[in-house]
Amino acid sequence: MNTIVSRASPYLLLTPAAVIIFAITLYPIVNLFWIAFHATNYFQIGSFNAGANFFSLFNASGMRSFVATAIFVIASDVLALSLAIFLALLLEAPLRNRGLLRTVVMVPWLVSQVVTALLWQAMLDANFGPLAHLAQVMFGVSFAPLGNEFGAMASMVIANVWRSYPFALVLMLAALQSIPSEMYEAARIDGATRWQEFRYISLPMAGQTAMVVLILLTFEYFTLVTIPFIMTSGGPNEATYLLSLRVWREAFTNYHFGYSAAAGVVVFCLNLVLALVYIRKFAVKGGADVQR
Amino acid sequence: MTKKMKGQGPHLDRRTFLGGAALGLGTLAAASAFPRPALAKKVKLVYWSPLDPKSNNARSKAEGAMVELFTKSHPEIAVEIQPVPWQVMGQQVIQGVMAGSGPDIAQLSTTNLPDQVGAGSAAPLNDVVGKNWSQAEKDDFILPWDNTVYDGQKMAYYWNSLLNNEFWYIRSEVDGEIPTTWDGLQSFLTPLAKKHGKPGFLTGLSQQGNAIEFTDWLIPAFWACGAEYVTETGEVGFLNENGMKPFQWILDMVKVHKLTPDNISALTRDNVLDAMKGRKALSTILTSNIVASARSALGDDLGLARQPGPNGACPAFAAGKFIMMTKSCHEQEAAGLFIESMISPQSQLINAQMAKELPSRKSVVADPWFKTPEAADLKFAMDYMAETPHFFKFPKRTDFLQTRLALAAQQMMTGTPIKEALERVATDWDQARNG
Repeated sequence: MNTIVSRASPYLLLTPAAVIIFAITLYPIVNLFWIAFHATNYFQIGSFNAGANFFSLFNASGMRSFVATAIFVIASDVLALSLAIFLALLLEAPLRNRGLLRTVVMVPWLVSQVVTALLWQAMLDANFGPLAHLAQVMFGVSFAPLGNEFGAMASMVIANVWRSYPFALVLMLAALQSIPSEMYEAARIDGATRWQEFRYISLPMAGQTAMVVLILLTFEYFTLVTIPFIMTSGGPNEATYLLSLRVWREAFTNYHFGYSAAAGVVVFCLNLVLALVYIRKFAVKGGADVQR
Repeated sequence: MTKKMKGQGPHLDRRTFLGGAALGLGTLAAASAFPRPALAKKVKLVYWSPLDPKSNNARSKAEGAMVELFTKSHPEIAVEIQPVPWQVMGQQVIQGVMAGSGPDIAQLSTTNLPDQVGAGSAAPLNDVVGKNWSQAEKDDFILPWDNTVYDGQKMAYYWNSLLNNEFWYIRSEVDGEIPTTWDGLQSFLTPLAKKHGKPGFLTGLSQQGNAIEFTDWLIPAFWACGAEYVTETGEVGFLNENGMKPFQWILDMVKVHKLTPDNISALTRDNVLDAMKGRKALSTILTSNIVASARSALGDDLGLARQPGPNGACPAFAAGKFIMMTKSCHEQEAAGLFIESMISPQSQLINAQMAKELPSRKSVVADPWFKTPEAADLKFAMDYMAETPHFFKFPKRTDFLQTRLALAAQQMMTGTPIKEALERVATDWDQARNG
């Protein structure tokens, strides 16, 4: 009897957590797939309609969302990571007031997404924004980046990078700090330049961390709704209509829960692929590889 | 009392309107002499409002006074006002009710009711509000009673009246009488825009806030052109030569006459309101409920006129915000009393006087206050609504159609032919309404 109890006790102890995970994670995902393959009328789930909900995702409007999402995620990833590496190298150097500098560059991390979006929207406002005012006063030109497709996407990427680079910076800084200083000293004795130190020591040693950061940022960017919703509302001409915003709008403006769920399934699958890469590359290989 | 206009809602002439107002006032005065029923126990109502009770603006203060009027006459009922931004109120109410944590009562934008009914978040009011009302009391509403009736059930009451298409202009920079035709307006504004170095006419095509900044003037422009927004059979009524005219007009204002800037695709109603308050444009078209806000910044420099159209002023686009009881409500009797109080002539008069909101009740207009200079903006709107009305009932999924029309206009700005863009709207609309 005691043996049975002792064998079962780990599972019994895990049961509450498993139930909670099922209720708040697995059930919604299963339900999402269920709705995605059914006709809906507001909140009523109708009959099975095969993949009809997915068809609208692959029309011209849907494809614009895929393109917009790809541009947004890739541009944000590249800029946020580059900025984080640059600032990490800078803050790693023996600068005066380094502690203060490190604090200042982290400030955007404290700002919520809503405030970030409103802040940048105000900065870029064509009528009252300081940038528009400067452009008018200094060059006599009007400046309305949110009013054209390229400008709106660029503005959204900049706002997103501004908000999210501190997270990448923290991780990159930690990775750089964990590189033994003897390696740099040895390289200098061998006559390596600063660039060579970076290229052959810093980058390879912090590369794993950069990959982790990249994947975590990509997860987040794929599911971002607040910034596009507030800054551009998907416009102009659907240039910033990200898949994540489409999920939200189809559900809560258009009340097309089937379409919304279908878009959600696509976002989920894209993130799942990324997660599999993450697990395969870092988790499965064991903790030692993840440390840098 | 009313007569039908071809393809339009009931028509009200001024005499009928004032007669109804006087009759309604008398009836309501008699009705108000009876004591209000009180509840046996202490209850609390949660009321979601787009107006923040802690805000210092006139509209919030007015709503606070309306609620206070209710709680004074019903001390057994506490009301907690929870502010929710108007742009997301519709979605939030549906989500809240579906999650079982919605409010008891909510005040929503005029386009939201069909979707609240469709989503099942609105509770029927036939047995809750106005159970003993006479026909005169029912006829006391400015907007048609049936606008908020679905399958024989009253699903909401108008909390105010709105004139959606007032033409606003800066008096000190726009001299003379505003032309009533599009051609006249263009000729009139062109030299003024050049003189002052700012846009002659501003609007916004953003999909945010269900694109009301755009559709509030587009829908009456359809009517003026002989097109419809949605036909009686539920199809789009603008996929024709007449329906294309308003789009051609705004395109010409941007591309040909350069009176409207080409960045309007990103502008929201709030952007346009701010631009007018900051005198960044000479004119625009906005709604009556925010005139007071603009006037606080512009004073007498804000001029009001009728929306110019192809051959003369467009019909008045009268609508209203509404107040409804949700299916989350557990205190239906108290909620009914609250709604009755918020739409009562006394409350409506408070809202008119303090917030300069158009009342939902005809009888309120008979109050002497409406003859004072303070009520001039309201009188302008009431006259416009009484002389060229075109009431209509928003169809289900109207928020989808509005945002879809704004997208079509954005596409036109980047070169998509008008007909092609509207055909895509019609296809999407048919798909949306047929599931």
